[in-house]
Amino acid sequence: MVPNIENTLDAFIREHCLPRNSGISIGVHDNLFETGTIDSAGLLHFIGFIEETFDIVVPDEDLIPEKFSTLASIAAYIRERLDQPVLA
Amino acid sequence: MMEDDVTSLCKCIVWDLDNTVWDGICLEGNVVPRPDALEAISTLHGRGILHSVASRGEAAVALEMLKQQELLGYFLVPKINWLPKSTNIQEISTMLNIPLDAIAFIDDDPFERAQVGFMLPEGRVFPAESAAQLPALPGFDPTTVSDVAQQRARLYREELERKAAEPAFANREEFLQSCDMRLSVRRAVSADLPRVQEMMSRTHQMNSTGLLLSEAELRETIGVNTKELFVAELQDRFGSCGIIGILLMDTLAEEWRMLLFAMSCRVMGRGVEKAVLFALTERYRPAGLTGMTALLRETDRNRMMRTMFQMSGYRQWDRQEDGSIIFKLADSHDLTLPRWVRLV
Repeated sequence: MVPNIENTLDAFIREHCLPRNSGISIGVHDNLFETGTIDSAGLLHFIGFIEETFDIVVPDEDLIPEKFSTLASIAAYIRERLDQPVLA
Repeated sequence: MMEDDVTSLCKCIVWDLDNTVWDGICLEGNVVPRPDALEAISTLHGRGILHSVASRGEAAVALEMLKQQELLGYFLVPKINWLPKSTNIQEISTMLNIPLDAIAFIDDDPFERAQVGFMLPEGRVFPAESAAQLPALPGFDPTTVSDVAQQRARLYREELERKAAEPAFANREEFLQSCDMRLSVRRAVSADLPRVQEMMSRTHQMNSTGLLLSEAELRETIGVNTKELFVAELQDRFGSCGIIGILLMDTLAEEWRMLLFAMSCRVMGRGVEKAVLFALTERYRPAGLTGMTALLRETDRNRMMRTMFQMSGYRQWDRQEDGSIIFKLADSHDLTLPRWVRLV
């Protein structure tokens, strides 16, 4: 059973990338980079969290704007990876 | 960030290292501990106040330096890495089980202080030069802070927090906007070469190829028509950050090729690296040039560089014989100027 992916990602961003108790949030379609929410170092931290939480491996080649600019696109990427059969 | 006018007890001080605990930059060699910082650390330690570290840099190098200076024993769960300091302070808070309103952060860099103040409004933030005064401040002496005062202070602080819940900035972008970052990318001149050489030899994380040239060799690249050396300078509302980025371009072919791109770790986390690439492409790419490529020699330390290129619209295109990746700017739409950086 996979927890709601968007909520899990949003919780990480709130915890690590947005001011505490501020009520500031970002929408699932907001661009994480253009809004200054995350940078290259922060993205690698986020990827570490994603790999651990969803038990997937994110190859460096996949770190491109189409896949990692918004919470929605990241969630879609994670779903895609989870649907792939595990190679022996 | 809150004025420290309430006597709630500070239980832990989180220190920046470079130019705060010691003078100098650890990754760049020699450092000299600051006597005022050492004295404050030891006095407050004696009162049972804990110390920790949130500093940018390489953990192994900085920990070794702390050990050499016989300071390591003072610091619990030191965090030395490339993450935002607010993230590290939150982790220290969790690991030591100390609430953020009982943590003080001390750093020489006004941007870092503003950033931590924005991200963790309940924490207390101090500039490096106030180290000597810390032991005399209310809240830094457990014997003078009674339980009642403590409770009252907490209530007061909570009230302040509620007021602060209407943040000064509606979002993070507004905070970055308020820092008024101005970037200039220009051709290097002779006077820049010592700093360029220093950055070549001392940056490892944000360094695309590790190419190392002597000052004399650098001098030769200025004024030849096959190479161009650029420097990026940043100013913000806190002052000038000086030269924070260098780029060496091979301009011989139809395509410009980036032989080296290195950025100072001091300005990480502001999106400035992308702005530097944008400025170079916008301002200097000659008309008719077919493309921009960049070399990346992967090391176990420069993974951020690869992420940065890819998130800025560069795609892996080929490999050189020596194994270096050749990136090509595939879609320049992905290379945009962050809205909080102005080109000057």
